[in-house]
Amino acid sequence: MSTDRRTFLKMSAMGAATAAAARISDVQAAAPPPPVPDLRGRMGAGVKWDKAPCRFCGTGCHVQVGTQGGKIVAIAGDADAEVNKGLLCVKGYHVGLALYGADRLTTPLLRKGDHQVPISWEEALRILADRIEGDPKGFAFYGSGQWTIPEGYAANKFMKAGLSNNHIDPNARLCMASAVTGFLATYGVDEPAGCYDDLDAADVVILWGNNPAEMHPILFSRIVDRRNRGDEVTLIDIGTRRTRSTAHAQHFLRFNPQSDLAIANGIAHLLLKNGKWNKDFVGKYCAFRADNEPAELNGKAITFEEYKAALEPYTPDHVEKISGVAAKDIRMLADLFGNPELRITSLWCMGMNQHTRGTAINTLVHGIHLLSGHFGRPGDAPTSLTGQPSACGTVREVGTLAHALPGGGRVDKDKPRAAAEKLWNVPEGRINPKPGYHAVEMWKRFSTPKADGGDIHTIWVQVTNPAQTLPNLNLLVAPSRRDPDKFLVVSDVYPTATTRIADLVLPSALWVEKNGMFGNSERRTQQWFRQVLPPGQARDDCWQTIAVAHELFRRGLPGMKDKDGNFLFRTTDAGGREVPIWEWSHYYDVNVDRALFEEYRPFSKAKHKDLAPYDEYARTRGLRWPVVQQKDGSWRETRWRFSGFDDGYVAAGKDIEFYHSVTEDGRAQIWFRPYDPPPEVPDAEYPFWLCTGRVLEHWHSGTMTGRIPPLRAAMPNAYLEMNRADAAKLGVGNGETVVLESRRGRMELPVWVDGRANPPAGSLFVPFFDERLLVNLVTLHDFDPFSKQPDYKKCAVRVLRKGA
Amino acid sequence: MERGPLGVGLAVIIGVALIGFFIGTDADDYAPDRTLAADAAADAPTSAPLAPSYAGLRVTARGAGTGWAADLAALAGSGPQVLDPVEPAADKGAAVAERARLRAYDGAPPRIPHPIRQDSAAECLACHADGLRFRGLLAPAASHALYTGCTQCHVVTESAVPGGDLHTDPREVANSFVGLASPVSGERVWSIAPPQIPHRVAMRERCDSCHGVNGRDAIRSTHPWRETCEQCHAASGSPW
Repeated sequence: MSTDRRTFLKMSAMGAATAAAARISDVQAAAPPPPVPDLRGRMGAGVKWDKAPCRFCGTGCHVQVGTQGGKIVAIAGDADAEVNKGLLCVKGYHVGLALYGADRLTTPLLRKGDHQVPISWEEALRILADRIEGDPKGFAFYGSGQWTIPEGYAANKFMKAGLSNNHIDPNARLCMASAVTGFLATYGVDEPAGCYDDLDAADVVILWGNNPAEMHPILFSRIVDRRNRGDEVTLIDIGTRRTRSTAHAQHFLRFNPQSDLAIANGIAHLLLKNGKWNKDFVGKYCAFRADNEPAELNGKAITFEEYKAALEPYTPDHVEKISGVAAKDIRMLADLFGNPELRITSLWCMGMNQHTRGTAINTLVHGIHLLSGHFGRPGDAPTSLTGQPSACGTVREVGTLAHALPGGGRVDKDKPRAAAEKLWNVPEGRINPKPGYHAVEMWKRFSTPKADGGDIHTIWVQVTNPAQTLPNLNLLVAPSRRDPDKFLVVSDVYPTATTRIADLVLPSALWVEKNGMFGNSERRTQQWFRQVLPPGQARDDCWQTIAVAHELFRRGLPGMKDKDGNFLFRTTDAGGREVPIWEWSHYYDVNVDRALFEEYRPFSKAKHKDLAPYDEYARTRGLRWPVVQQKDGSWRETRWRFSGFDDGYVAAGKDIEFYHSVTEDGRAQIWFRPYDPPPEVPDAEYPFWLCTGRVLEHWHSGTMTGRIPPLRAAMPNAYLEMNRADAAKLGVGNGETVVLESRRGRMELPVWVDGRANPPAGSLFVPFFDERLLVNLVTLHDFDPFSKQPDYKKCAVRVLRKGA
Repeated sequence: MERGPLGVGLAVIIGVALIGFFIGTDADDYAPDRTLAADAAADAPTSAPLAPSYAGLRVTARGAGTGWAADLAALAGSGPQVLDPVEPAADKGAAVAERARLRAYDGAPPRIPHPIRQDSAAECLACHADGLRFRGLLAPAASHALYTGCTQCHVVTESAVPGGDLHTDPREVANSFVGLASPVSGERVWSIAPPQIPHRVAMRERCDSCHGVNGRDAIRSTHPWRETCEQCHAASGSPW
C-alpha cells in the first residue's frame, strides 16, 4: 500500500471517528460534524483539466483550468498553445481565483430609494422590457471587448435587426478605435497583417508608447527571452516615462507627449532624403494620401512630390525641437528603417490609440513601415496590441459599434446593410442606415436632460465598468444619476463603481462558468466550454440578451420577428425542433454559442476574414483568420495577411496584394499627417503632464484582479508617480497624500517616488485600476476626430500639498 | 567565452546585491535560527530593514555580514555540500505546508517574501540562480529555465506602494478559492521502490531547486549527487 493511500485512509479513519464522536455529541449539543478534508483528491488525482483562453488581456494566452468538485482548484500554462507556449503572467496564473470573491452578485437587484433590493429574474426582465418597449429609439447598449463573440453577436443583432437601433457601442471605443481607423485608412480593412510569429523573427522591436513588460508580459518575454537563446534583439523604447520595459531596452527615446507624430515624420523625411526608402515596394504596392477639408477618414490622394514637400520641414533638428528626442536618435531610427536586411516590428497599444491624434499617428507608423518596405516578411510588421481579450474578435469583427455590421460592413452603406438583412432573414429596410451614438456621445446624451436633447433614456451595460473607465466622469456619468428619467441597467459579476449607481443590476456568469469565444490581437479566434456553474442566480450575458428579446417578442414587438414570423434567435435541436433557450433551464439544452457562431460565420467572408466551423476551434488552441478550407477538407489559418507566400487571397504570383485597398488597385496608403499640438498643455496654473494607464497586477478597473488576494497584496492601491526633482521642489515626501487637480476634477492619493516606473520632471502617472481613487475625475474627454477615442494619456494638472 | 562588459556588470550587480544582503540582515531582530527568509520579512517592523546611512557606515561595523567577503563561492561553500549525509525527513508535511504558504495552489508561481527592486532580474539571480543558504536563510534556486522578467510571474507578498489605510480594501478580505494541495509524497509500487514524482513537472524541470542541497531540509534528496532524477523517479502527476 502506498504511503499516500495509507495517509489518506488514516485521515479518513480519523474523520470517521470524529464524525462518530460528533454524532454522539449531536445528541447533547447538536453540533454539526467537522468536515473531513479530502486531501487525496486535492493533491491532483481526479482533477479535470480543460483549455480556455485567459480571461484578462488581448494577448490571448491559453490556460489549462483544473477543476474538481465543481470548483477551479488550479491553473496551468497551456504548453500546446502557440501564443504562450506553456508560460503565463502573474494575472494568468491567478485567473481562477477571479471567480471566488465573496461578494459575487448572485441575484437581480432593483434600486428602491437608496437601496438595491433583490428581485426575481422574471421581474428584472419585465422591467427592462418595459423601458425598451416604451421608447425603443432612446435605448442604448453599452458593451465590451470582453463580451464573448456570441454575446456581442447576439447584442448586435438584437439592436440592429431587432430594434432598428444603432445605439450600441463598446468600451473598446476607449481602447482601440484609433487602431481601427488607422488600419482602415491605410489598408482599407481592419486588423494587423502580421502576427506574434513576427516577435520571434524581428531583429529590431520598437515600442511606441508601449509598456508590454507589464501590459502584455507574455509577448514581452517572448521577445527578450530570445536573448537567452543567443538571439540579438534590439529593443527601442520610444516613451514618455521609464518603465519595466525600458529596463530591457538598448535605447530609450523620451519624447514630449503628442510629438510621436513628429518622430514618425522625421523618420520618413530622412528615408526620402537619404534615398533609403524602398522604391520597388512603394512603386508596386503603395499610394500617398493626406487629410482633406473637411476631414474624412480616407482623405485625398496626393502625389509623391506633394508627400515629399510636406515632409520637408521635419529635419532631425526640427524634430528634436518638437519631441525632445536627440537628432542623432532620429537618424538612428531612420538608418534602421533604411536597412533592408533588418526585420523590424513596431508594437503599440494605448499610447498611440488614446490620443487626440490617434488615427494620424497610427497611419504614420504604418506609413514608415510601408515606405521602407519593412512589411509582409516574417519579423517586418506594424502590429497594434489590444487591451481586452476580445476587442478584435467581438468588437472589430462582430462590429458591435454604432456604425458597424458583423464582418466589417457599415450601416450607412447600402450593400452590407442589404447583405446583413438577408443573412438575418429580416425585411428590407429593417436596419437603420444612420450610425448610432459612439461611446462618449451616448453617455453625454444619457447625462443630458431629455428637454435639452438628451434622447437616451436607458443604457444597458454588459461586461464593463464605465463609471470608472469613462473619461471626465463628472460630465459623462454623474448628471444622469440625478435625473429621474434616466435608467441604468448593469450586468456584472461583482459590485463595481457602475453597479453601485445602477437602477437595475443583473448578475452574470464569469469566464468558464459559461461557454465562450474570444478573438485576440493576432486575429486568433479561440473557444472554450463551460467548466463550472455560476453562483446563485448568475446567468450568461448572452442568455440575458436573448431573454429580454423574447420578452419583447412575446409582447408582439414586430422587430423581434424575422421575415417568417419566427423569433429572431430561434434555435433548434438536432431534430429541428425549437428549443426555448430564453428559459434558463433550457439554455444549455443546445450549444447556443455554436448556433450563434455558425449563423455569424457567413458574415466573415465579406472582408476575407473567413472563420472556420465552431468545432475546429473546439479542437485547437485557436486559429488565425482568414481560415480557409483546403482541397483535402482541412482548415488552414493565415499568419501573414496580404503576403503572397502565406495568404491564399493574394493573387497568384504576387508578393504582396492589399486586396481591400481604398483605391481598389491593390495599394496601401502612405499618409502624411502634420504634428499638431495637443488640446491641453501644461501652463503656469496646471504645470504637470498627467498620463494614466495600467500596472502588471491589475487588469483594467480591477473588478476581478482586485478580488484576487495575491494580486491585491502586491499592488493594493493606486498612486501618483512623480519625479524625485518635482517632489523635492514641491516639498512632497514619498508616500505623502496630495491633491491632484485638473480643470475638470480633483482627487487625493499618495505620491510614490522611484516606484514602479519613473516619469521625467514635469510629468506624472496614475494607474486607473483603483475604484477608490478615480483618476478619470481628472482626465480629458477630448477625442480623436475619426475614431472618437478619448485621450487618457495627456492632460494638464497641478499637485497641491494637502491643506496648502 | 567572452566576458565583456556584461560579465563585469553582472559581477558588480551581484557584488552590490550581496553587500545589500549582508547589510539588510543587520536588523535588530535578526535571528539566526530562522529557516526561511519569509519569516524575517514578515516579522520585521517595516517591509524593508533599514540600511545604515552613508555617514553611519564610517563609524559602525557592518553587522552580521561583517567578516564575510563579498564572494559568492565562499558563501556557497558555507552551506551543506553535495556529499554530506542527509537524514530522511522527519516532518515532511510541515515543510510542504510551509512551502505552500507562498503559493495560491500547487503549481502556482511562488510569491516573493522580501522587498525587491522593480527592474532587475540580475538582482534576483544573484541568489536564486543556484540557490543559497546563509545563516538559516534559504533562497531556493529557480525551478525552471531562467527567464528574463522574474516579476512577470512572481509578485511580492507585501507591496512597497505607499498608501497607509488604502492598503486594506474590503474586496481583499474574502476569496473562497481553495487551491490544489501540494502532494506530501509520491506513490511507491513497493515499500522500497523509488517514489514516483507526485506533481506536475512543467516549470519544475530543475529537481534540485527543491530537492537538492539548497532545498528545504524535509524534502531534500538523500542522494543529491545523482544527476538524472527521472532515471528512477517516474512522472505520475497530471499532464498539466
